[in-house]
Amino acid sequence: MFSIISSVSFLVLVIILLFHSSQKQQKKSSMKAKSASKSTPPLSPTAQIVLGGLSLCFFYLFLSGFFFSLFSTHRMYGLPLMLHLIVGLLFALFLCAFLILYSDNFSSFCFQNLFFWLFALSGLSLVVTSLLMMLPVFVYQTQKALFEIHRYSALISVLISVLFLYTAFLENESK
Amino acid sequence: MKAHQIRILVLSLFLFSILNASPQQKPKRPWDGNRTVPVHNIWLKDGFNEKIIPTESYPLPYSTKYTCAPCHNYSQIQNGLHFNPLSSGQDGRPGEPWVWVDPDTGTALPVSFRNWPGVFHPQELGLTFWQFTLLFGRHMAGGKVSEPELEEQSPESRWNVSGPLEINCLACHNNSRKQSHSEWAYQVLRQNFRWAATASSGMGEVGGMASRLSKTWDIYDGPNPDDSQYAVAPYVRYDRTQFNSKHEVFMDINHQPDDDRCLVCHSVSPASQTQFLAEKDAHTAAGVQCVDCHRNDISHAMIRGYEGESQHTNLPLVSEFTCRGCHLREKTPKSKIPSAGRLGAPYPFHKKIPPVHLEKLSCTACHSGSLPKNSLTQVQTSKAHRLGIYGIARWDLNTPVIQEPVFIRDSNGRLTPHRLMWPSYWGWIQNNKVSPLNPDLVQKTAGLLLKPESKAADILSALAQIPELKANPVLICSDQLYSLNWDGGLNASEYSGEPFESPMTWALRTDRSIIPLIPEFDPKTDPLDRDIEYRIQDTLETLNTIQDPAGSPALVYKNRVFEMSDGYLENREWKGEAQEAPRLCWLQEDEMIDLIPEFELNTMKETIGYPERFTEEQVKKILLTLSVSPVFEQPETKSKAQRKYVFISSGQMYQINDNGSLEAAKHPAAEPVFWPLAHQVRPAQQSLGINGCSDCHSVDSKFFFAQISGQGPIKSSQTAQRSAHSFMGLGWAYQKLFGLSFLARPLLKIALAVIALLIAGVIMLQFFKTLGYFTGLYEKRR
Repeated sequence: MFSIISSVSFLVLVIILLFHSSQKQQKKSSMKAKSASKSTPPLSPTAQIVLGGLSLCFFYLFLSGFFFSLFSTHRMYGLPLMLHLIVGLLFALFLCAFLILYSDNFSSFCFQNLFFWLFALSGLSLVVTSLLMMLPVFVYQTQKALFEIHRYSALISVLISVLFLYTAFLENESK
Repeated sequence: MKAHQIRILVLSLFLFSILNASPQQKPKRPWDGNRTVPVHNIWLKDGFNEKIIPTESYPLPYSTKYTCAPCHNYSQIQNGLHFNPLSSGQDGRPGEPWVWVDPDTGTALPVSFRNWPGVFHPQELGLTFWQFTLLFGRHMAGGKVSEPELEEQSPESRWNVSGPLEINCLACHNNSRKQSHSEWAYQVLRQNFRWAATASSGMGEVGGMASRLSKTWDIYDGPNPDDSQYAVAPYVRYDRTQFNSKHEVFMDINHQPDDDRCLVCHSVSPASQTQFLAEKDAHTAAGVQCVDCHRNDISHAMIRGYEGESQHTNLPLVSEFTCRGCHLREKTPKSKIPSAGRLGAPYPFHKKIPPVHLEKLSCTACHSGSLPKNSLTQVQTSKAHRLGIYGIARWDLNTPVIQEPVFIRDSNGRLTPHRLMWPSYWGWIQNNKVSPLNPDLVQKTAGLLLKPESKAADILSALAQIPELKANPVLICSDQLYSLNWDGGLNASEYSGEPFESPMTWALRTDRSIIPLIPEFDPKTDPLDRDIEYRIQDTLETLNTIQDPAGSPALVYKNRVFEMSDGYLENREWKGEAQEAPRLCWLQEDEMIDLIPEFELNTMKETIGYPERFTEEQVKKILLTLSVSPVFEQPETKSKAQRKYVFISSGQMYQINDNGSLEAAKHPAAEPVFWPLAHQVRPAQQSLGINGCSDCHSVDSKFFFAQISGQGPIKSSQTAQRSAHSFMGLGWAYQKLFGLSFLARPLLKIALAVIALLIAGVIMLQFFKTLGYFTGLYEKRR
């Protein structure tokens, strides 16, 4: 079920983005942009490390997680699982650092910021569910539910991150 | 047509009608819904469908085929799980095979009619139905294999003497405590197949032995008038008190057999455990009987209860009678009628167990069999170790070596505990395929090489016949003392008494002390002391009776040699090396030969008192003997040079290499045979993992890293050594690393908890900020 929902949502997202981007292209060509584009200010070294780490970790987690969900009949196991755990901790660390250091930049009301906070929320959900699954507290059914929440949080976070990057790209282009 | 021709025709018709008589079966009525068992006051019928009158002088044994058949369809039952391994199209999950054990040749061959991996089909081993029944009938329930049709009977068989071994309905359904499995086994071993069911039911007393009768005897011949001592034809004397005036007998029938009846053939216990410590299966303790789950209808196609059984059979409800079917709600059909919780099965919450465990492990992995230890637990099973047969005879319960638990993936990919047996047999290899040799032929060919202790045993048993000795003769070699046992073999024990000068001393053991058989004396005295003279004379005369001696018996002491000549003891000067202590030996052309040659003595030292039977040197000699023996000439091999003889044991294939030395190599034929274990089930509090993750996930985990050594009759340093993980198909390094990671898990959890709190804090802050924006509080404060 999860693999179907994931595949469909990825597909829908790609279609929406393609549609939106083609609409933008048409508008752009008719308007003929006059102003020269400005480049965004360069990131500080700390921001580069945090953002780079966050992106890399997120990318590995996405790959390992969705590979087993979409292309394997088994759940994640072995070394990929161990790495998933370790990288998951790093991701949580980078996310936390990013939020503490740069969350103020995302306090205004726009789609991009909304996506950012949704990403943060799904990240929190990922961290909490992975922690709770490791605690020797819950019964089998609850653990299964936690696992499902973890998976769907991961899906949401991936979708949101794509939307976030897309809006960031659009904003960059409009500048 | 002449009168005698008519008589022959009538007689033939009569005989034909008897031979073709089939049980009269009434059409089966559907169950009326009453849950009680009808009282079975019934006539017993013999194998010719005639009523049994217990007061007759020579009544026949009762036949289940005709006694039970009027109401129960025998031919349908005959195809049941326990009675017919031949007709079932699907063999299902591997089960415990029969094990053909021949201690003398060190053979332990897994045998089954079912097509399971690693087992040999009886036909492959040249075992006929007759031989199979003789070997395993002791724990068979009778039926198909043991009551073959005329055209299925092999020429060497004696079915006409023994009669068929019919399905023994009462073996399971008799509620009487008189039902004796031991009696069944005795009768099978005596070839009294036809009488076995009667004897074991306790309804009659059976005497005589079909095995001692000539091959031409059959039941029409009746008692043997020529011999009332040895070749006594089997007979039965019914307990007349069990019959009423109508010659009906009350059978105390149990529709659902008690567990005791199942455990006769299905007991499994750790080898070293005492009965006091034996625990009940959790289900038994809860009042659930074997047949509550292992159900069957009249077809006796029994539910085995494993996951995936529904792929092999069309039995109703088969998918529900599994651990998961009863305890979890996974298999609830769409009809929404709950199947879980049957018989009050509790729902397991599996608190603290990550869900992945229920996907990767079978229920039995944590709940059944022995807990993983540093090495495997050796168990004894009824079928393999002939348990439950009580009498004077005793046999080696160490053979075959069956161990548990080994975790292997089942057809669903889940790790499931299995029992394991390392096969051992003599065989020959061609095109990389190893074919076993018949143990009887190996024994015939290898002879005394298989029993190196036989020379010493022969001498000791001959010495034991000397009445004047009044003590038990023993053999002392360095620190070992060898004495005769009841089976004519030798027992070894440690000798800690005063050391003897000779490396091999024949001695006498009394209640108090051990003294040399020939005490020290002055050999130059003439005449000798009378007692000494008689002792030497008796000893040498006794040695003269030994078969195949290496020479004439003699006693050498200092520079004198004593020999028997025409019934007189004579002594002369010994020109060889003078002996400090009296030394018994064989003399061949004045050459002194030890009574026990060096090879035999060394082999005895290495093997007697140990579970292993053979030394490497011994195996080498036997393989060489086999290679030059004409017994094993086979037409399919063009020349002997093409054929190599091997010994499969302890997970290795032993063969003689080109240099003439014995080498061990891996070969699929030497791989162990596995079958999953299901019972006995331990309660949740005793399950694997109850102490936490480290029960399995640690650097020195017994679950992953238990050491498994190949077991077999050879004493060798080259036996197979495996680690438990290798059977699971899991990597050693990863499991070590994963086990190690559990040391850092608490830190990981703490770190994640702190990070989660921080992230939540930032998000909450932003949430309140946003709330402030919307409510205007934020601007107001500014």
